[in-house]
Amino acid sequence: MDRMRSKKYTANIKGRLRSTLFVLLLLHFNVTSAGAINFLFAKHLFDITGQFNNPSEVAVSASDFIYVVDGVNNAIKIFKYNGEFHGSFGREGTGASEFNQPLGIDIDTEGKIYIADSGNHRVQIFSPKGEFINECKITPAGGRAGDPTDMVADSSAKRLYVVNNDHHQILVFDLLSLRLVDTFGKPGTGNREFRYPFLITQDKEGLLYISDVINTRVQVLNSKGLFVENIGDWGVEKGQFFRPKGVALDKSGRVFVSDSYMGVIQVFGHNGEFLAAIGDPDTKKIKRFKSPVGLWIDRQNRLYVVEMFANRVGVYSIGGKE
Amino acid sequence: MVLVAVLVMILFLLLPLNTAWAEMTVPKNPKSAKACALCHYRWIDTFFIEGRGTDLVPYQSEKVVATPEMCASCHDGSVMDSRAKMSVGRGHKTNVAPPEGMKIPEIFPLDENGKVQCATCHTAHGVPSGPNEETTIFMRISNKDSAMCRMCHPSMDTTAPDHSHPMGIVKSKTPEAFLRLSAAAGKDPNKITCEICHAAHGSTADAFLIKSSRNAELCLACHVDKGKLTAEGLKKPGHVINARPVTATIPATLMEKGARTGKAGEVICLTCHKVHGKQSGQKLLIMTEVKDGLCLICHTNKQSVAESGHNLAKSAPQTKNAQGQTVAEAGVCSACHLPHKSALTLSGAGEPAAQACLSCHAKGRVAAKPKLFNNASHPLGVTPFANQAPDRLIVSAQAQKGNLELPLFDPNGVPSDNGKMTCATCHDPHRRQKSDAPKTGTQNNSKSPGDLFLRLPSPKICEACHMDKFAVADSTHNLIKTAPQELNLLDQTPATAGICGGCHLVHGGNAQYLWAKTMPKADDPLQSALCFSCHREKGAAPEKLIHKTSHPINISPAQLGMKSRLPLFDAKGRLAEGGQVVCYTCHDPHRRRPKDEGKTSIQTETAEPSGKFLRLDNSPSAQLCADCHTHQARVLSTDHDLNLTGPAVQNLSGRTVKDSGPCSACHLVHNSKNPLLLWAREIPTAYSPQEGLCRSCHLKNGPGGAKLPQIATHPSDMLFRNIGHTQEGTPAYFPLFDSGTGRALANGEISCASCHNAHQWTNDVNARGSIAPVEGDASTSFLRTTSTNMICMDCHGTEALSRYLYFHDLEKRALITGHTESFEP
Repeated sequence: MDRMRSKKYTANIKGRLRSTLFVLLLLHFNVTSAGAINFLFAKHLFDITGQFNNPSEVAVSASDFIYVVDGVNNAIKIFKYNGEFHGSFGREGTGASEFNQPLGIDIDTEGKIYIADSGNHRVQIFSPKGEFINECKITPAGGRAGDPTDMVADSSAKRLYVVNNDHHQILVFDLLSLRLVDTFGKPGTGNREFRYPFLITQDKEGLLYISDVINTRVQVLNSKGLFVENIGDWGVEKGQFFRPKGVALDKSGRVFVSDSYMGVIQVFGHNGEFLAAIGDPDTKKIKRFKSPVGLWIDRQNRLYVVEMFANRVGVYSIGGKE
Repeated sequence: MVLVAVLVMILFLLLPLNTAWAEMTVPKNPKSAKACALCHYRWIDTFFIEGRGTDLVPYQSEKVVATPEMCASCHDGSVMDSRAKMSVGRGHKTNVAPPEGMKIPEIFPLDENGKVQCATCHTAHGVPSGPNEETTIFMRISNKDSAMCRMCHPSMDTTAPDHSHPMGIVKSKTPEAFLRLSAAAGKDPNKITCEICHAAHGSTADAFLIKSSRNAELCLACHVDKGKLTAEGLKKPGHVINARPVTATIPATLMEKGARTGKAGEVICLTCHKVHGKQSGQKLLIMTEVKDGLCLICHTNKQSVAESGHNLAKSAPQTKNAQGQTVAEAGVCSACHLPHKSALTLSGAGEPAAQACLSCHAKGRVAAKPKLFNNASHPLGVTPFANQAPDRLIVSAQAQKGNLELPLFDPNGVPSDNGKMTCATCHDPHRRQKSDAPKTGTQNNSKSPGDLFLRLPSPKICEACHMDKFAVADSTHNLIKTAPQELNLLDQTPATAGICGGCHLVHGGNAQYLWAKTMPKADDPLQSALCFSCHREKGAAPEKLIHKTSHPINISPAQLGMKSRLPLFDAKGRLAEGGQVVCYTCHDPHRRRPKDEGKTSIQTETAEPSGKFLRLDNSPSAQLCADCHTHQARVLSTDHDLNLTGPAVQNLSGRTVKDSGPCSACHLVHNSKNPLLLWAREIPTAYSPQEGLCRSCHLKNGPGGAKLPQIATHPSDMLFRNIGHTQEGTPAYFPLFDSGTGRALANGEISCASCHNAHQWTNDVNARGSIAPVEGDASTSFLRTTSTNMICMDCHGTEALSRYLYFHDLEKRALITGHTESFEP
């Protein structure tokens, strides 16, 4: 067990005790509601409907512009903070600023925009205005073309982590030279193994959160690719997934995971424990989304939910827990 | 209660640390069914065994394994990206019941409501059924050679090749780029299957075709030889596609039979062909029962060709087109047109429409027309619109866009307002004459101007473009009136040839202006030869002959420093900047008076200058002469303008300035007796020719008798070398003249014109004169210069000024020179 694992093990014990106390309190004060679910109510602010065609991911810049990957339209659409359309870039094709069904997006601390141009087997990098800067080609292997579905840029570590979906691995590039420096993962169901990893995000400590779709979990690795933990498991109960897709973290480090088939978003604690599901403050019931995929939480604690087949991005203010 | 809580806590702490809290609430072992339940959502133990829902989702009682939502939960890019195929535009219909009468084999299950779902065709337990038979797309049975498609769509089957587009192995290859677009990627390019054209998922085109058939793009991908353009971008022979009908109308009867058009009504492949369904004939044509095929169904205005000489069934039944077909075999249209191939053997040189006509009418061809290959024809590929040379006082044609009664054509032969002239601009090969109604053409085969397939009768057809030229009708150049027996090159009288045909032949004329007459051999440029074909002895106009003592032609005004709006011509008779002066520069043979003054009647023609076919008026303003001779025009409103000082004075031709303009008082443009400056007056005896010119007026009892110098000669016993004073237009200009010819020379004698410029009253005012009658002084009086830098100084030094001042004063001059001289004109 290396140092990280040891640290994590200790953290797990602490977390488990906290959870146990919490359950005891529930049992103590409301035993009849042992099967009830906690909600994190999200107040609906507005929807962005930008004539999308199967959008997949969303990101918000430090200057409060909202970028939506409008995949089948092969465009990145930009909206103001109030949801008003601002502009777009990209078109179908294989050249610079051209896309073939892009999927994922990330914005680094400099405001540069990274797009997983999946069908063109590359990551394209743009200025905040959408001006092409560079591209990072994802090379084929084993007779299969590169299949980047998402990436996260770690400006401080100078690393670009790219999800190579069909290859069930995470590729690590040097952020400056865009040279491949490491590869995490392989096909499988164990730790550090994936079955169709899809979307990825990173917390302040550099941990990577990767939705592992067919393994029905969010796998957490550290920046060196070492296993930290799995969030969620197979099933339809709270804390379980059928089709986990989007992952986002709020300021406090809570992990939000969308499930595109069940149409819900669940919230997990630092240690992977289920905390709540996103609830509707009006109905006081669970909030149901239509094929929720990409998630983003901005510095104002707004939750952005891409509902792919509804062709919209819902914007919510994350409320307190009930 | 506290005890219970403590017991529970102890129990919890006994559980393994790696046991998640969530697992405590999940019954049995849900992972055991995961491989199946990954799609068979209903089989998740929570639903299937425990029969309940959860906090997250309701109980699932129905199977949803192959609903679009379930498929999309993986095909959204997270496992496979089929978003475009599943959700874009049109694709095979789902969630709908099959149309009435369609029999769906049992192997393709419908849902509980009898509707088509993904699972109707797909199952995760399917056979290897990808297009290349190595990959699987989870089909229920193999779709090799579209077998699965045909099971539900037998009407699209193609066992009878004439009833639907052929399938199976074909000669041509489907382009690789097209195969990649289709669901047949990786298949044999020589094999046609449903998937070559149709994509069951993700198409944006009608009938989920991989490319739209509404712009012919789909068909042309394989049928490249039917395309509009060659690889070099040239128009291919064949019917136009992707263009809205301009000269034809697609009838409702054709549309009712299944014809399709482009989105804006364009002609496309499917306008004539139908890919699926029982057809009535070969080549998948929609209608073949009509004689001459589909052509005349839309091109109703071409039906009259059947009654004309262009129906080869009547005029040349044995003639075969470029594909070796007679009209009897391929229809009347096939002599000139085939929908996808060239019916004609073209020469490859010249305007395309002309090539088509000449394929029959050229020398040695089945309908040779000598006048088409002997001599010249009207130019093609030109536009007949006005303002082609807006700075010139000439326009060849004056048609206005939007008002032209004749069609112009683009390079592809399509009528276009911005097109150019072709043979078809004047000729409608499908109709003997415009009055021929469709299918009711006259049987009269006599040859007349109206029997030339002209769109308008002659000369109205000429007037459509050259309307300004028709002022000729009221002039002496209307040969019908003035020379009715004059024959043109085709031995036609003006009455037969028409008002234009006396001088111009659209076909068979000379290269220059399609001149209809034999041009006399002459030293003059070609333009003048046109005029001299009549204005010569024994010509049609012998009374108007031009002799050599006339205004020079074949000179370039530009080279003389002149700018003019009058048209100039190159050696080939074409309009040219910096070209040469010819008769046509000053004269417009189609108009007796300049255009703005309107027509005048032939009966009122007089000797007025504006009745002489001049391009500009020349009286009283001298506009015509002044257009080139701008410096000389400064004579106007001076004492030398006889409009002011001698309106009754006649020149050698007996004409006054009112008759012939101010210039004619001194110069005769044509047929002067005096070659020196074409002088228009009798020249009296004088010391020098130049002085003689002046003395022709400045003599006793002459028009200039009031200005008769006592003495006007410089001693002539020596020649002077003129250094520094030969540049006309400079202040020091002081010309010397040859004592024999009177022409300016570098070494010559001093004469009147050495000091005087007869065209300019005030030497430093470069403008026309003032009509104020003032007595002249040393700065006026038509003197060239007040500068002391004059030639007199070269010989006389400081004495020159007084000699210059008293040059015409007999007494004072004698005091200075010491000589006594006199002159009596």
